[in-house]
Amino acid sequence: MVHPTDSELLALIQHESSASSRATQTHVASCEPCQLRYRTFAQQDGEIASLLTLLDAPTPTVPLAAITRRARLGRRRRSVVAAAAAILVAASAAATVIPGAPLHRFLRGVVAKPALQTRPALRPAPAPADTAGVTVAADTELIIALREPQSAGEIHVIWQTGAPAVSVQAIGGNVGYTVRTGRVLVENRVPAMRYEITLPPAIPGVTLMVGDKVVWQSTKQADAGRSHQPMTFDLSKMEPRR
Amino acid sequence: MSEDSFDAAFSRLFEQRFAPLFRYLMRLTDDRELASDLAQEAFVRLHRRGTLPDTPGAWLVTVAHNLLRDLRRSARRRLVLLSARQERGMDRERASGAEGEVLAEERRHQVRLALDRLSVRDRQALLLRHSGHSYREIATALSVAESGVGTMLIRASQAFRRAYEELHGPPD
Repeated sequence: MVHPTDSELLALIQHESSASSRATQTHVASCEPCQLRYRTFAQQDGEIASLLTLLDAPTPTVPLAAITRRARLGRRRRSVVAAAAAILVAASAAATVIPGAPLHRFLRGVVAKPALQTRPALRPAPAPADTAGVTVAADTELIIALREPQSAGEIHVIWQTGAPAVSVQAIGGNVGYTVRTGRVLVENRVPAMRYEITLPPAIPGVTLMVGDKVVWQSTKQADAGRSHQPMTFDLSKMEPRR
Repeated sequence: MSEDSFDAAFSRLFEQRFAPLFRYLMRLTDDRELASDLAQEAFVRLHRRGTLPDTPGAWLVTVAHNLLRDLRRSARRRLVLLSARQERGMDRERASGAEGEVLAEERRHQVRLALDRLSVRDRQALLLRHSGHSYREIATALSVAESGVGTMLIRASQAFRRAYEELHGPPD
């Protein structure tokens, strides 16, 4: 006769059915020593169960709806996060491949950068000073004045039929412009070597000054009957050449 | 499984398994709030899963164990050490002067100390069994062979009894 093991007896006590549980039960029913073992194990198991209940606390009342609501909320939140991540990835990808997009330019710059380059990349050159100019309406008399006297350089005055406005442009140097009603002030602290002034023939009157000196003045009456030829003023001589 | 049938199955499972899971976690952590949070979160995650695993009871225990481990690691929530908590509890009880409560608390203290003397695996197995989990669930949750659960429980039971008798004498 083979007696059941301790674990087989315990499984029987704990109502844990197994392949051998029926055989164990049959054996214990007819074996006095195993009945004693069974009773001992059962008593000990009951004592342990009783001791462990000392650690218990009342089970909280948790509504099922609270669990499912939390689960669905979290699922929705995760869906939103996933959707946002997908959009972000798509936008990044698009920005990467679209020419002209900032990210594209950045990546192109990174890729094109020589690996051993130690100096910072040159910044794009600023707009050349010779493109700096200003345009003002030609419906009133106008004073165009270089704020600082200049002993070198030229001022070219060009009459241009059909020109919609007066244009003052400095080539070279680094000048700024202040435009007021009837007045254009050229800030020539870093003087340009050439100024080009384009005038519409219909302008009522123009006065050209360098510093506090009037270089040239034209009024409609004074110019009547004259041809509007281009003029060049040599600032070293302050005399106009026609 | 359709959403309706899943909800119905989940509802039945929640009704049957929430209390045993909470009881197990309460005994394991000695922190009612934490045990409740862990049990609820395990069920929330099971619902998000959308399908029931083969052994849902074991799955819930495994998730709760993982959550507990993460909490311990991140120290976001400190588990109260059994002994330290017990000392404070005993101090409070002594101060209250209720003799019956003092004795009860002392017995709880000894039970916890006896449990602390078991290996983690044996303690978990013993607590799972006495919280109403089957051998199969214990085997799955603790990643052991089902055939070995009985032996593990015998060992854990004997170790627990020895430890308790050393602290307190034979159980009443």
